[in-house]
Amino acid sequence: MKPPPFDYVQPNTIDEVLSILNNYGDDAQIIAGGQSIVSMLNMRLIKPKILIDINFLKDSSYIISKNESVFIGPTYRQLDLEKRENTQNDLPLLSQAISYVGHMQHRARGTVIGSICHGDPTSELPLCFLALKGKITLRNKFRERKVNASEFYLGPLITLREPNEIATEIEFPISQKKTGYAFEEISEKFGDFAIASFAAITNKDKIRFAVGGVSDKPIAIEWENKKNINLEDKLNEFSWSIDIFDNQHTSEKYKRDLLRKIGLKTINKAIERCY
Amino acid sequence: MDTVKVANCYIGSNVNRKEDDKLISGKGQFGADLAIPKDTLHVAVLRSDHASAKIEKISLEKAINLEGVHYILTGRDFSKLSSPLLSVIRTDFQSWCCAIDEVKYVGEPIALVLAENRYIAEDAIDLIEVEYSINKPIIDIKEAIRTKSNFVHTGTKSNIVSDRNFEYGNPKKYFNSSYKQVEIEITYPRNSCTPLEGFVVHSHYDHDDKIYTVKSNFQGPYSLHSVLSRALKTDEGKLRLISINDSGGSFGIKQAIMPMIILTSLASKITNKNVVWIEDRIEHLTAASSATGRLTKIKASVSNDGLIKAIDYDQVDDVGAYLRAPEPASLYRMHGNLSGPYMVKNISCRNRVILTNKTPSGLNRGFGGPQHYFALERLIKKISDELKLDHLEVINKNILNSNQFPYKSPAGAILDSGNYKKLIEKVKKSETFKKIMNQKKKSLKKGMLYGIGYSAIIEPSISNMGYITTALPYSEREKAGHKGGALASSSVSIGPTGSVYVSCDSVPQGQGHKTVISQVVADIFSINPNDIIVNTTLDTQKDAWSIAAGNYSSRFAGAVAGTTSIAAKKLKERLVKIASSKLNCKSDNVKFLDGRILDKNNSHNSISFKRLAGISHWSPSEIPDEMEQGLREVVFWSDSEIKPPNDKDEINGSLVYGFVFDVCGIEIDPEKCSMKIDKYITGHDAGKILNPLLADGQIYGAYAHAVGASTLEEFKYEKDGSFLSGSFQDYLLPSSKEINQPEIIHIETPSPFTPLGSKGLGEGNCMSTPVAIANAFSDATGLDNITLPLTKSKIHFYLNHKQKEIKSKFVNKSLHLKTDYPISGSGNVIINMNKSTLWKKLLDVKALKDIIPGCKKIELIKKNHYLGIINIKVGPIKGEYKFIVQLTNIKNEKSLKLKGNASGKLGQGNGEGILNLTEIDGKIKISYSYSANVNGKISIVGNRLLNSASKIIINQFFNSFEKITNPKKTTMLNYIKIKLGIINETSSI
Repeated sequence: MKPPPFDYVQPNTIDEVLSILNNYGDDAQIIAGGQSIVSMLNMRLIKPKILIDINFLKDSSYIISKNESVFIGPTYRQLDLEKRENTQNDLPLLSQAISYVGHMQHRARGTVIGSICHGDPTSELPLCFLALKGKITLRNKFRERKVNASEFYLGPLITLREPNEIATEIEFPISQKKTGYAFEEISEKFGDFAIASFAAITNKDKIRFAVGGVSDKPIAIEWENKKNINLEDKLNEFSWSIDIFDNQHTSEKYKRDLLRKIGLKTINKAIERCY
Repeated sequence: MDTVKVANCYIGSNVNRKEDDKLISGKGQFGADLAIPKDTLHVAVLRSDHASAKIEKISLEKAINLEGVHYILTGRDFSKLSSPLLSVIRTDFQSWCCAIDEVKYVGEPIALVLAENRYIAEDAIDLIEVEYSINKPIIDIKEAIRTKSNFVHTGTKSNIVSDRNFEYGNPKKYFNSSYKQVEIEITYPRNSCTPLEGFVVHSHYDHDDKIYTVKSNFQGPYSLHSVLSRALKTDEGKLRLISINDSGGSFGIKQAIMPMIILTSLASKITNKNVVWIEDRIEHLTAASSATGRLTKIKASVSNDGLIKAIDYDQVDDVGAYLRAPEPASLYRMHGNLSGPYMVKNISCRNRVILTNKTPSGLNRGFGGPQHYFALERLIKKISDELKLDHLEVINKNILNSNQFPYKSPAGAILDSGNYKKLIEKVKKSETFKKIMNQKKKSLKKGMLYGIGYSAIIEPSISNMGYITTALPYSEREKAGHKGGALASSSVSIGPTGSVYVSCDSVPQGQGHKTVISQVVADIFSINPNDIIVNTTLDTQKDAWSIAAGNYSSRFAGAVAGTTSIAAKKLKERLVKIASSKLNCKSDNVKFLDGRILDKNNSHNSISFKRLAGISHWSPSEIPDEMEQGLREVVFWSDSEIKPPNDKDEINGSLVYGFVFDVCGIEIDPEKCSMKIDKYITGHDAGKILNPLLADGQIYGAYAHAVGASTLEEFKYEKDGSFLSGSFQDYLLPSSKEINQPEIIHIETPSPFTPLGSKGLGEGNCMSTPVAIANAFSDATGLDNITLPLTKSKIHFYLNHKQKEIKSKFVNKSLHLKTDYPISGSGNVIINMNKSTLWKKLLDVKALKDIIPGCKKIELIKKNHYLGIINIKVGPIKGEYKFIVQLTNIKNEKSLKLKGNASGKLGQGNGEGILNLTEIDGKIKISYSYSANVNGKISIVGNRLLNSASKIIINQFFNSFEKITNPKKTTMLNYIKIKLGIINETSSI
């Protein structure tokens, strides 16, 4: 468990990062909190030629509230978000989900953007990002683009980010009035990868529901919040319509069952909160 | 050291651990902290990716040419200088420490790279190429027994290495009777206790003295010293084993460092340099060792009121690919006490030891006990269910009475002491017990399930070194020479200014032996425990040791602390003689009190302890004539109660036996399928408790291990033998969030056989807790067939396997066919193309190169056989793989089958797939299904994402197919999603 040889740089500016990324492409690996990357390096699952440590970027550890959105910079830590007083008001979903992200020690180093970009299908932050319809800013040497969360995830650890791009900012819409936010997670043990995690956002018109952990990426669905809506039925159909992957620990059937039962609880919790 | 003495004694008091200040301030000196001499070579081990394979070729050239790599040694290099490992049972295959020509389990060493540092050594490992021909492995215990053709070792005729039948009393009489017969079959999974610190070996061979000096965290038993020296083809005295001061835990497993002691020692001899190997976590989980997996069919003949007349065991132990000493001890440690804490007189037992393609098993906390009591105590629960009796009533009906001790059990255990019923009564009187009994109704009201579980076990300690030979028939034991007993040794000495030194043969792994030894000796000399220097490192060239030395079978409190007390008392007798001459009083009147020695009749007539001890050093001429010079006592102690197994195969496997009685209440949430241990009481009768604080620490520790074994931990293998638990992502350990604090209740019935009346208690909960939890689970669910660990998904299966799942109205999902392959999937794509054009492209090498994402090269090697190189990328994880694909069952423009394999640095895979083409509305629908398995690193540490990643790779192929052929795509899945309104991102909240 020793990493293979690699070069290591500590750029101070995004421009430096971009020029390295432009030269190295997918032979470069960005490291921020390192909570996934370091173990992958040590297990030699990844062998980058160069490791770009962005912890020395200037002014990158920010969180700003502006125009109904919260903007987060690339080295803003998960624990800072958790401890931030206003999080439960303006980002109630994240406020509920954040304590499920690994253990406190992971969150102290791990960054919000890092987790979202890593795209582990069991991670909580990508799920919230998708549920909240966040946006991510991706920049390469030549241009910048904003990508919707709904388009960002392609598969396990696979995102729309090109090798020459860095995620410079995440945007989360702040909480809306008369809208309920709920998060639930089932994992084998405290702080572990999610077997299934659920986010529900509801108002009087819509039910937005997202599930993580069960498939190769987080998946969201929306229903109109009609009076006679049969949520059991909707969830059952949803559970059959997506690709659910089993693994050595959990069966597909269990995951589908969680989606039906705990998914329903999550939605109901959100519904209770929207008045 | 803060101390409150109980009854003016340090023994029995809560003395804080002497060891902790250093450890908790990060100053411990562990194996990897030892100074590494300049020019030492660091070892990385190349290990097998396969459970069973022939090694066709090992290409070392690239690796050996890497700068900083000094040597690469393979099985052949080692075998020239050494002999195979020996075990109690002779086998018709050889047991080498490093594979020669064939590999038998994932993680088996194939080569050692010796380099300037570990980084370079691991770089070199990546450059070695091994070509295997893969065999079908034996993974399942039942299959290992059943097969007539597939054997773990070539040239052998069976996977069963030992098969013995035993009978005590007259069990047949009761099984052929009208008594009620109750039977249960259990499987106990493989797991381990995962110490914080892995294995460390520093080896040095001196070519002049011809002595191997090994500093390692080997923990004994030192009977294995003989196995090591024989394998190294050297005299006992030429192998010097030195233990390390601090330990990051062992729980038994560090016994299994043995093969690596041999390999590093030989490497030092070959290279003429110091060699160090520091195990990492992947190596540890994959290849260190494991507790045995066990399959037991157990039945009882019982009277209607629940009295057990006879028990029959059919036990099969899965020891993995080699029978490594001291196995098959897992089966035989409990043999004498097959009857557990019960009065049953008639027992029959069949013991089989079998091989599978898994990591060889070895010592692990509880050693044989968890497996044994899981069967026995599940049986007791089933008896109570079938006879509709209260579980506790059945226990009480059969349990031994206090007036029966010492009690000789049918299979030969001599249960030294105990008051089992008193402990049960004490547990029943606790408030927590009442709460457990009352909780069921409350939980059911909340919609939860609640179960109450019991277990009653006896916990053996101080192993009889001869019990393992019970695996041999009497005639063979006679031939080989009988073995029985267990020596413990301890030395106590006093220096010129009165410092007291103790060294003993316990090789502690973090338990706090220094603290307890200090208490024992402090009481004898009436001095402060802080003034006693305890050195627990063992050096086979300098210290008093015998084959029973080491840290295992909970031998410390009973044997080692007791032996130390004998040595200290003997030394005290000498001091008394000197004092009586110095104080001019009778020996009987000499009294030791708080660091002074005085005349009982005249307390002013006294001398300090230091001064008195000094006389022997500074003025030996003053020592009374009849006394030997010097203040040192070395004592070896063994009790005559532990004898070799006799001609009736009766064996007293351990010297003393504690009793553990557990009650627990568990609550199950049927929706989440999660289980919470609501309350847990563990009652212990372990003789005299030397330090209650440390005793409870041991109980908490064993309980934590047991909760892990009950709910999370398992070494898992796929059917193809690939190992799935190579990191803590997949080998799940409980944390403080998952482990509740059990309530501990003690009674103390001193043992008549140990010097201090004490017994071991550090393993009991590993034996009692898993089955108490399983019994509670059975009580809550009414189910019989329960296998640990009770993970959430398994609980879901147990609660739901009889119910039909609600289906979908729209999606007719064909559930994945379960094949021998762990990874499988299926899908459809619709392609807007002429059928014959499409078919041609599918079979055209040039077209395929463009279609297959990441394909670097593809060529037709013979008809329908393709060979190529592909770059596969899943997020940041990328690698180059060589692949071979064969097309079969080709039905022109209709369907074909693919079969192939790929191999690269991260692993190897085999797979097959089927493609079907059909025409729908002028478009072509390709339906595909695939199944695959993956071995190697990616399987060991990245298993959790494999299934979805495989799907992605396959999708990449078809997506690319679509992209090239049909820019406007409508996949079947998307079609369904649109129909269901799942893809509808336009509306917003």
